[in-house]
Amino acid sequence: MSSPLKSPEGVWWNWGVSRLERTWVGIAFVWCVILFAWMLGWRELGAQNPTGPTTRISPDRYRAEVQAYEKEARKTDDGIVPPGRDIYVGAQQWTWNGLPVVLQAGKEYRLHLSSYDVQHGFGLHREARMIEQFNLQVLPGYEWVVPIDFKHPGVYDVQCNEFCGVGHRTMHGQIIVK
Amino acid sequence: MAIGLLEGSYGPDGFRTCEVTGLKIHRSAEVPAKMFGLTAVVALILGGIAALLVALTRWEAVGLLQPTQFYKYLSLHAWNLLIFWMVFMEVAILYVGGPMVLGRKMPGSKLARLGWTVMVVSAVLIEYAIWTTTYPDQQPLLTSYAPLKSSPLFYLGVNTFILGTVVSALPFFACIWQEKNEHPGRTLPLVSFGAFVTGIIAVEALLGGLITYVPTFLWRIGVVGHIDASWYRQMYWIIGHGSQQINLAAMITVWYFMTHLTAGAEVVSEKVSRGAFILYLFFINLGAAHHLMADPAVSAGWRMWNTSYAMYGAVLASLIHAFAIPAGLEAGRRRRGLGGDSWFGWLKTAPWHDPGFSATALSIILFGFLGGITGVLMGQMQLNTMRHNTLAVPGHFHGTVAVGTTLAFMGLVYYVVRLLFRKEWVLDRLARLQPYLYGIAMSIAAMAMMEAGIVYGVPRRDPITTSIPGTSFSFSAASPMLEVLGIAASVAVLAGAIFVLVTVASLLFGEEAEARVPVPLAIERSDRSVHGFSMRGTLAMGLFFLVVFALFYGMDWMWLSRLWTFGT
Amino acid sequence: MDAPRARQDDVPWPQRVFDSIWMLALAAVVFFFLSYVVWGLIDLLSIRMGG
Repeated sequence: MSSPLKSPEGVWWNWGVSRLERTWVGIAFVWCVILFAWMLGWRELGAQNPTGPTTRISPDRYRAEVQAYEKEARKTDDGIVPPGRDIYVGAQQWTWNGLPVVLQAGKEYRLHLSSYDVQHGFGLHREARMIEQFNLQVLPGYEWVVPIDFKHPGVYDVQCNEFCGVGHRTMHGQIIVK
Repeated sequence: MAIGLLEGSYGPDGFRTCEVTGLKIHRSAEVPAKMFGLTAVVALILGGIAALLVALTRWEAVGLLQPTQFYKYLSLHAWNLLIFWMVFMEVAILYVGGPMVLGRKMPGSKLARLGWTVMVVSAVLIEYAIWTTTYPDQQPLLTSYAPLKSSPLFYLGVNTFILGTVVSALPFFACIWQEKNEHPGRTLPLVSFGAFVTGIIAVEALLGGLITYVPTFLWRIGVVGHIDASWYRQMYWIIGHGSQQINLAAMITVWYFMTHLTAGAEVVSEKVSRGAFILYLFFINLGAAHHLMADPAVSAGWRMWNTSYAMYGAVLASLIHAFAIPAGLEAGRRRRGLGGDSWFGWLKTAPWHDPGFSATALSIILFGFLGGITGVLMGQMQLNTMRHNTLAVPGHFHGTVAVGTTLAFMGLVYYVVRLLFRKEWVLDRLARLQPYLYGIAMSIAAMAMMEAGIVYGVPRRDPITTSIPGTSFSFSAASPMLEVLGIAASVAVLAGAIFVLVTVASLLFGEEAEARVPVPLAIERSDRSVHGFSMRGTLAMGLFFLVVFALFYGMDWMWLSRLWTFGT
Repeated sequence: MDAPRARQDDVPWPQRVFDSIWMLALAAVVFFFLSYVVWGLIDLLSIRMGG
């Protein structure tokens, strides 16, 4: 009668459902609503979201933007200091154009990301505490501006984590937060 | 020898009756099912060899392969296991779940042969393309992300493989069509319904594959000028993740089948289980969006709605099946008087020595805890930013596919050997041990990857992370985890080899199987309807699972909240 | 399978919906196409030119 290999006969819609199974489905449903609501809620109220405006831009145009920015930036021994609140990073096989960069802790910047050639992965790690990390996808043809604000000074390492060819594993850069 | 293996003894009408399951089986379904099943195991062997080489490289102290070789074997590993081992097996499951369970002929079984031939030729073409890839082409890995170019033969092979799979699925759909036409008032058996849902999910995934790979192939050969990276990702993941959702639906169908066959499980509620399959049908492929959580271009709204499978509709489905299947085992065994009246006697007295059962049971438990939880966590838009492109991602999908689905399919193959090829298992003790060895070893490997990715951020798809040219920074702190990964994965490959050894040896040297009905199925059942029997043991386990889930959930969000602030 | 089949009018509509597998399949594919493909494409197409 209730074999998974046989057709259920009659009006199986009206067969009873055990109280325990009903309870389980109810709990599961509530958990699913919580999962959804929490994610949406964090989007509105939380301080960490992989969001920011995107525009289309050709690799050549973006490279020109990065170069213009680098020209205006102040050069120091540790890296360039952005002229304003915008940080430009251009990913290319196999280096991070615009890094190393020196930033101030507690100041909100706008991180611009795009690629000159293929897809790359902006994998950012706080060197002193590697569990602190985030990872954003960097695409050619799109400029993504993600606001970012570092609480803790220190060294942050960028390691490309999207396969981008043979030199992929050498694609390292640094963000120094003072 | 191979032809002999494929043939069986049928009546003049082409049918035989399986004395164990009572199913009426026609050769037009059974022969192709065996063909596809055998091919799947060949792919498992190739992928397993590649797995060993990859594992011994990511165990950086051994560092077996140079980067160029690493990416080649990584691509072979991915295609042979995530795609060929899975897809060939799933076509076989469609043939079992459709015509064989329904007791029908399979129409158009010539199409099955044609589809199989095209799939095999395509698979060989893909392997060849990967094997001979030279600069400026790059290895495709699994995802072949444009605009990084791979060999034109690769894209061609993928397209023909997809077409071959579609052709192979047609006889299944035709059979279901005939069944529904002949018996309009009859409900499909649950396993056939699950197979149907699996088939539709597969069609969605395969169409997505064509939408992706036909233009990409044309771009590669210069007919199309430009491939948009964001469009590629969005379309690719329809087949990229969709192919894995086929695995999920097929695996769950197999769970219902195998728990019934080996241990006497029944369906506690047809409508609840079918409702869950329907939730999968509508929502499961939306999860392709999981891979675009840390992407520009696609809106937050699109990401959150799709990654959640429409407000976690498909997760509800998984949670339903996660209860219904063990509950079916519990109530089914209680109804047969197996295991007494205690909370867990029904589970303790289950046939843990039967590799068909143990593989299935381990698959259910380990898939849920390792794969399921991590999948939902990493699928949350913000949590994903901590995990994207780290080794935690392979950690998750080794929990789902390499542990969960692979164990389920291994269990199924043990019974395919006994019931379709009708050979007794040889090397009995090895067979008994194998699912445990594999399940535990692969679980440890998966957890090592998760730890390396979560705690240290070790990147995926990178053969040498413990020393990086040009900087003193590295992921060398993760070395112990990579060592655990290397050792555990090697043991898992060994356990996989044992599986192949036992099944092949049984096919070649096993005695004719007796018509031994597994003990639970043979027992007379009580008259009381199955849902009248207690499922408290299952509820207790389910609640424990949710508590673990909630704990990890809380932990992950806590870690996120401590990160620097980012986003609008 | 030898027991008498329920008459069609006895069968409640939810059971008939659950048994209308081709309709369900079509609805599901259309839903997927709209929710994942079309919405995503709209997102992509509405990205403005920068620089």
